[in-house]
Amino acid sequence: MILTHFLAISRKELYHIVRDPGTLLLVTIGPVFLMVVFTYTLTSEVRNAPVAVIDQAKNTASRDLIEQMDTSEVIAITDRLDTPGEANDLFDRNQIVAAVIIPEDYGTIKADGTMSPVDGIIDGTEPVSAQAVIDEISYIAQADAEKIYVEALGEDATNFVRPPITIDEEVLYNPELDNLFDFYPGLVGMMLGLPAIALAMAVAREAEHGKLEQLVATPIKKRALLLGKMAPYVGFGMLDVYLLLVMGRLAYDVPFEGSILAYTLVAILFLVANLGLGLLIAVFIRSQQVAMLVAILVFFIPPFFMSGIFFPIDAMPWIVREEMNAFPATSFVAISRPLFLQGTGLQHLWESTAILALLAIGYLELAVFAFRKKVIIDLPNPFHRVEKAETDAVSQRSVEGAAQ
Amino acid sequence: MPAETLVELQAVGRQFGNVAAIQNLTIMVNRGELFGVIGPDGAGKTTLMRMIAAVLNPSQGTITVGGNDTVAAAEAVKTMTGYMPQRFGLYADLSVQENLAFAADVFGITGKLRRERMAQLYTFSQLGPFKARPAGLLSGGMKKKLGLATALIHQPELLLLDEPTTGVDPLARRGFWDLLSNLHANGTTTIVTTPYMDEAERCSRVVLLYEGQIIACDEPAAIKARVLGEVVTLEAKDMRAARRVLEEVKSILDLQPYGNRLNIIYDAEEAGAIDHIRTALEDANIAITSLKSVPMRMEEAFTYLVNQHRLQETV
Ligand SMILES: Nc1ncnc2c1ncn2[C@@H]1O[C@H](COP(=O)(O)OP(=O)(O)OP(=O)(O)O)[C@@H](O)[C@H]1O
Ligand SMILES: [Mg+2]
Repeated sequence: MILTHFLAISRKELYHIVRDPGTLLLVTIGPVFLMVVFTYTLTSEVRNAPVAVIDQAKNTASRDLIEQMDTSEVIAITDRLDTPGEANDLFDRNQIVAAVIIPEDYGTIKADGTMSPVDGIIDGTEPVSAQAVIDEISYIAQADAEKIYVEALGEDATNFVRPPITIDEEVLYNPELDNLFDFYPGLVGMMLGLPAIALAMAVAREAEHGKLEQLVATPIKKRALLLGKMAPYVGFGMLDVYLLLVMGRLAYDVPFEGSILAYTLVAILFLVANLGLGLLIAVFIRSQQVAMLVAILVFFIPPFFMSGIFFPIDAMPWIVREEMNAFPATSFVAISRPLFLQGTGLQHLWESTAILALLAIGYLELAVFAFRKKVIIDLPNPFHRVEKAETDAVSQRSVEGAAQ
Repeated sequence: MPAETLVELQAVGRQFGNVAAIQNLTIMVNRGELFGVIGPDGAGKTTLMRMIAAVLNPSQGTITVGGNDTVAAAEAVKTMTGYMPQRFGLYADLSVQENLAFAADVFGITGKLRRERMAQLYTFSQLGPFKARPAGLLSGGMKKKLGLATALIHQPELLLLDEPTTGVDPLARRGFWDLLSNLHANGTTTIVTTPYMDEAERCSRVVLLYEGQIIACDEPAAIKARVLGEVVTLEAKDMRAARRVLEEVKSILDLQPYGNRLNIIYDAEEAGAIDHIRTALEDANIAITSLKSVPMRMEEAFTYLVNQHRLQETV
């Protein structure tokens, strides 16, 4: 019986999802789309980042390089300094995000065929914008160096084995600064909040539209009802997981070093925990709009903090870190980062995996426990005086008649 | 044949904050009855149905369905009832067939039995040709029929229908009541609510609810017989003046305005009451457009009883 109920509810829920274009988009390409938008805003919002130049060469080549940098839209040269020491002061006062040091012999190809590299100092407190600035400076310096080689050695320069021109990144404050793809696994956890939001809204919608009243008047089992509603969302969530994995690989060059099987297991645990939390929210909040707001807070804010995009996790007070464990995203981010990027096995990540499993079971059981197969009465009754237009005349009359 | 009680309400009350939706209700419904709950907007019909359906607990008193308490044995009650809420409770994006199949799954009706029942219900409800149509695209009347069909999928011992004919055109209303009469003839126990007084006539017994209280609970004919009066309906040029005059006439029990007419309930015991009325109006120089005797309907009886009830309350 419970299996029949579960399957009946799942099938019905699947119909609801695939027959409503909005929900379908939300749970299929929604997370991918959001990832694109999110990473785009993260990487492209850097405009005219203030940069200081310390030109130690003061020759044609260096002036040429500075001119190139001046035309960039990503960075803006705000200060021209004589010594690197002067830059420290500007960093301290947050007036620049990077300093570029051009070596004395810039533009000269040495006897061994190398050229002294340009040095960069980056303020790493805002890793994403810092990354964009690094990319831009590297790109300009690389292009400029190529030009110098070609000018010196003719068109054939490309045929020579050229020593690389490197930018030494001297990162201040946040020595762990890495590429965007370092955040990618964490962002995946954030994007997977979408199916949970969709589920919370679906439950709230069923209540709001008065469908739950009929359903709770049947002998349907609570557990079958809630699990059945959740099941299709786990399915779509896994589809999202793989889509995000493929997109990370193809569009952002994010390496996936771990075991797909382990990642799948963790992702399922995470989805069930997230969706269970979504159900729990919907059990208490049966208005679509409020459920959506709460769900956005619950599913987007924690991974946003925990994926370390803007906030180093270790810097948080322990009490906050402990509380953050209640959000499934915290453990998911903690597991998926090393698993994703370093191929760490689950046996080394068992603690977070256990928390995730605990949350998955806990939230589900809590939702089942809190769910009542009753009509909700503490809300102002939205059902009242709708669908009544036609009888109003009649009943109004009898009330009037009665009142005389 | 001694009647067997199926539903029993003992001193049932239900409050929402300081609104008393149902007050001190004691009713028995026997097996095989087509029992009507009649009352205007806000009378407490839905509250009553929800409590019998075990989706709302009473604040006071007890309700049993087939001996099962609706609070302590709610799930047992839910298994034996088919409840159709006032608001369309089926899924607009699911087809007629999918909705029925879903209900069958929920009540564990499978295999051959399921195929038979579904075929029966398609014939009974005349929804056969619309199997594939999304429920949201059905007409109002057909939606109600689908609601009825899904509530019947497990052949419940008790059928609970909350305002099944509200928002349905008169023809479809009659069609729906024909279905209920059919079920009644076949022995199904049904409790149905309605704000339409004329529908009360088709029930085996009715309870009249007003502001959560019982005004009367009896067979329709017996309720009408309680009103010891007859009805004349008046149309006049100046209705206000007519009313003022008639309020002074002793043999008149009740005045019930309906649109541009006035229904006058007068004491049938008193000889020549209708002439009395005519003279009183003519003496006051009120031009009578028409004044004629009409049969007493549930509507007049209900209004009369409610007015009596209110009089008693104010005394
Ligand atoms: N969930 C609720 N919360 C608060 N008050 C409620 C609730 N449901 C009903 N009421 C109040 O209880 C009273 C009876 O309502 P009920 O819905 O039972 O009447 P009804 O006879 O079904 O009316 P209608 O013809 O409008 O359907 C009304 O005053 C209503 O405002
Ligand atoms: Mg109602």
